[in-house]
Amino acid sequence: MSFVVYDPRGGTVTVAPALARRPRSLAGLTLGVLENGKEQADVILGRAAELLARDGVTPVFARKPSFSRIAPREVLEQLKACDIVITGLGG
Amino acid sequence: MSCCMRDAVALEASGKPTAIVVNEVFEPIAHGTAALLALPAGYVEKNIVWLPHPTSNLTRAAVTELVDERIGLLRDALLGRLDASSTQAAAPGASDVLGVARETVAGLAASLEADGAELALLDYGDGVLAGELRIGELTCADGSCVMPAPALAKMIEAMVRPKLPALREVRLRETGNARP
Repeated sequence: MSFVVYDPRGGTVTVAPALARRPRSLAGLTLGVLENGKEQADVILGRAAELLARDGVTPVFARKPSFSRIAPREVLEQLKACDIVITGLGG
Repeated sequence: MSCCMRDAVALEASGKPTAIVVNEVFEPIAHGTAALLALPAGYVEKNIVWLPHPTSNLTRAAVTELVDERIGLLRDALLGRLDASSTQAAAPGASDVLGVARETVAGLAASLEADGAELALLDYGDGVLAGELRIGELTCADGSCVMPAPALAKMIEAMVRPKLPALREVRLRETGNARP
């Protein structure tokens, strides 16, 4: 009689995430602004978007329902339609 | 902070350059998260713009001024021009993480010291906190036996990890008398 014994040990493979290629200029780009809902986050990111708009970007605002969780898929999809993104904030 | 970074990494993976603005109190966590996510060296320095902490109690005018002062850094981050030499708060490193870890286990270290042993946290890198448990001439036979280093390491891990989520392991080398 023979047995098949499965090895219960798992394994993890760590792959360094790829970073996006940076643009040469901000002019004409769509800027996603992902705010996490912490106090003043809207003020800070809003001001940043206002200033970057002077470089020719068009801001698109998004907000996470909770700063302690990653953004929901629909929010990320909204931002993936942008060219560049800024996010924050804490405390 | 770590969630901001995870969002940013998800967006980067979709080809969207993403810069983060966050309070400098989260620098140790940012470095820990970068290590945990296996982000490229220099990710934190190149993609995060720091604000002084706290910002929640500042007036709108004061917050606006902070942003105005840093908009050049944020622009540089989006264009891939931000680096460690940019004018930001001092880049955090192992010493900051060590500071947090040492502060967290200060009470434990004092207890050990009362028993005649010394706990020294010496180095942090790649999620590993390394240190020494110096027991000198202590022996179990004289009633001053302290907790073995492996068990103590687990205890330190449990104490420090809530503050440094990127901590993977604590390695403690025991020096002094060999245990029976």
